[in-house]
Amino acid sequence: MVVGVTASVFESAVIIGIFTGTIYAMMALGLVASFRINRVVNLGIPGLAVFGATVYFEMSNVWGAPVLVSLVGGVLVGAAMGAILGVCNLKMTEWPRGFVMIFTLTVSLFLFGWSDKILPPIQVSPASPFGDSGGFKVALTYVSNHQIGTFLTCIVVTLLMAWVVSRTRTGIYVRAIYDDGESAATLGIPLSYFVVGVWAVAGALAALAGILVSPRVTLDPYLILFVTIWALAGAILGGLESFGVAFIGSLLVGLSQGILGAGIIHLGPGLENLGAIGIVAVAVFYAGVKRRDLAHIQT
Amino acid sequence: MALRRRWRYVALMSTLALLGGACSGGSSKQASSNSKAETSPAASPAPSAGSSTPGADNSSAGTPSNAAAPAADSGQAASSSAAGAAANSNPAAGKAATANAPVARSAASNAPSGSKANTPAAPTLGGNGGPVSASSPIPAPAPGGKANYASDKGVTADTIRIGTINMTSATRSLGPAIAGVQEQNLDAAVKYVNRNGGVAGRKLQLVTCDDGGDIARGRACYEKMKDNVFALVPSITWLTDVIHDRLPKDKIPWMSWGWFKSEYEDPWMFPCHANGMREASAVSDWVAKIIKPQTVGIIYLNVSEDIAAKDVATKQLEKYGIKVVGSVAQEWDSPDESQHVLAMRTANPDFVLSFSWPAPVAKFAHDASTQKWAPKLGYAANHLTGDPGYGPIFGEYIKDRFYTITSWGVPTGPDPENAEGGNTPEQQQLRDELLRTNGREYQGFKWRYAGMHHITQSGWVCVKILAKAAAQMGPDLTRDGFKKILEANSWDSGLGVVLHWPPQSHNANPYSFNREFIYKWIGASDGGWDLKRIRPDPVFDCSAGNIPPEAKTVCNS
Repeated sequence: MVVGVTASVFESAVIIGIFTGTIYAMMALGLVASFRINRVVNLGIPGLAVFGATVYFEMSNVWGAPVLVSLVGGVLVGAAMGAILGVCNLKMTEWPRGFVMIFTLTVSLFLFGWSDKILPPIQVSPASPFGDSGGFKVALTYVSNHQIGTFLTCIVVTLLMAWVVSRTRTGIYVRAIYDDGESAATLGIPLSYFVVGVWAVAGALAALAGILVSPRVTLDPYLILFVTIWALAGAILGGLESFGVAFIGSLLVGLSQGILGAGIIHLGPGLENLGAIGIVAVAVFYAGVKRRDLAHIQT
Repeated sequence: MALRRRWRYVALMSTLALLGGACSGGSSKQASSNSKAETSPAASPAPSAGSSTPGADNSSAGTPSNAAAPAADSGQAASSSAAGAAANSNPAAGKAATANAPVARSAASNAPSGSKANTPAAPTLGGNGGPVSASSPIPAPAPGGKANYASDKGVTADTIRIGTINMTSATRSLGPAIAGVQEQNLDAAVKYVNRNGGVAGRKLQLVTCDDGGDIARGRACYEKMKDNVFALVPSITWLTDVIHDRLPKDKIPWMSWGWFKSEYEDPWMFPCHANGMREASAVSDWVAKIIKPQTVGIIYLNVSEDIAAKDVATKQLEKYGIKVVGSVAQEWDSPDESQHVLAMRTANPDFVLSFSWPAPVAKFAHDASTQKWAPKLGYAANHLTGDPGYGPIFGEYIKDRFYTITSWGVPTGPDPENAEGGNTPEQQQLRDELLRTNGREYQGFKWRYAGMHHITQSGWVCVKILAKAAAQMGPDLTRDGFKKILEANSWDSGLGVVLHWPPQSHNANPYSFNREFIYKWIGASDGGWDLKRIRPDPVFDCSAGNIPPEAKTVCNS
């Protein structure tokens, strides 16, 4: 039931939804990156995100390192762990994909536990790389510098990744491995190098996502796991193959939650999230049916 | 090729190891014991149990059958019996002052005559009048009396094993932040009891099990414990809502955390903190009478207990003509609460009630702060927002804006209004013991580890009550007898509440948490956060008759 909604309420709900979607989009990028090379749904992404954010928190809040240095530190640790995961993944080439996926999930659980040991036993929110204060009022809501910074970072990374995949020699190799790894290897493409490299990039993206998401969500492994689940819902829109469509899909999830949660459409308890996932499901179904028509967008 | 095979083996083993660690049943260990630590794999989960669905009807306080119920008087009860019992100087039962101390009775029952001590007082509440004080010493066994022996499951000649199941490895807002602290408080209480002579010649031994917030693992913990511990003590676990079919069969008493309404309806459960729906009724009544808003908004967590609390509050407010103009359902894993702030802002209530959990409420507070919006008369949040350590998590926004309701008094800075219930000797003892057991670091910034959260306070209180009740039974300690002792007496916590579990129904009057406490977040002198007692106190049922005389309540004013 739609109740008396003013333009400013709707506008505010859309803005809130976009920034919630940005949180999911950041997390979705790592998922797409690792899937893009060897078709594995990398459920290690939330673990890498949490661990990267933990390193960032320790460096900035505990050791007192500058935020930029801490950011680089967190991302590099994420990349290193992503690379290790890539090496393990390479050794599991002949394993069923489902088994490898479960392996990545166990890695997440392991990293959650490790992070829990490092972090103080309270909920913590790391400092934002874009500053903890500052922003501006829009309609009935307030947009912080952190939200703007995260949004812009997400767009830049999405465009960069899409460009690399579609326009560079590296991207051609990655696509070739994705299409047929053995043939690509036969043609002389260094399979190991690219798999490990792309998984390292996925790890770096996950860590970056963790660092940008945790000031908003708090640095809680299970909360970030749930963010990843929503991100997965968004990324599925592009079949986990497209950075751009994953970004759009994640925004769609966030927008649905923003509009439904702001009371513009009154739903009962629990139906708010169900409504959001329903909207994504319809979109995924449409994308699946129209896959041939949309292929050029998805890649 | 060999290298590849080895890698496969390593990957397979590490995956299985990780899976095993992640998916195994609850793990248990012993604490507060000199014996070797025990870690054993969880048993397979028990068959599924029926879940109780809490009703939202909170208008009745249960059977008002205890006309002679003892009036609780914690302040007066704390000091006077030479036998270590709390003599009741309450006028209502004053004439029985010399004969009504249950602990004195127990001392007699441990006399050299060797008479059996496990026959509890007649299970009629009020006949004896005086509550047993948690702060009084536990009586030592009489010299020459019957020797202790293995009188029941979990009991030996020198040990009473008690169990606790907590979601210590659950998400950070539940696991380390509260459930882990519960174990620390229980540990402190057990160590305190043992250091002060134990329980009539026996030492307490705490056995812990981590269910990670998973009911299946919780059931596995229960299966391991049911024949190995004498009783279960306050545990932060969802299990307490679904295990009701098992307790009467296994005849194991559980002094529970009291979060679920169904715990009050289980004859083998002895809830140690307030019923959430009654609390919602009491706080709504208090808000209507003291804050006097025209309109109210409600934030609640999308779980059965909090949905029921929201419904109870709505009904209570309607009695005063106060309209609930907006309500938002939170999920504990919500990444952002901005949309809910917007919804509440659009509804524009004078006051907001919260029946939710710390993490989403903290997000709501942060997002409302960011949007520079607040209801003009403030918020009243349930106890989960009221832990003295949570201030920094909620931020500056909550200062002078958030009221919170709790089951027990909370220690604050010097405040004459908080002398009763809050800044009591028992609170000081709890504080001292927590520091003694866990070190000064435990205190952190104003009890950052939730040691004074009212659920964790219930752990301290109920272990001490367990020790008192078990001591009354002497050598012949049995689960059945222990249940009857708990039901036959009233138990002064020393934290402003006298606990009762009437034998006919633990939900009947006198309901233990009939009177609760309201605190308000304020700025501390050092720039941090502090709580200030706000009076009068909220009351669930003014006619129940167990409101301490010195309490200032809405009804009495």
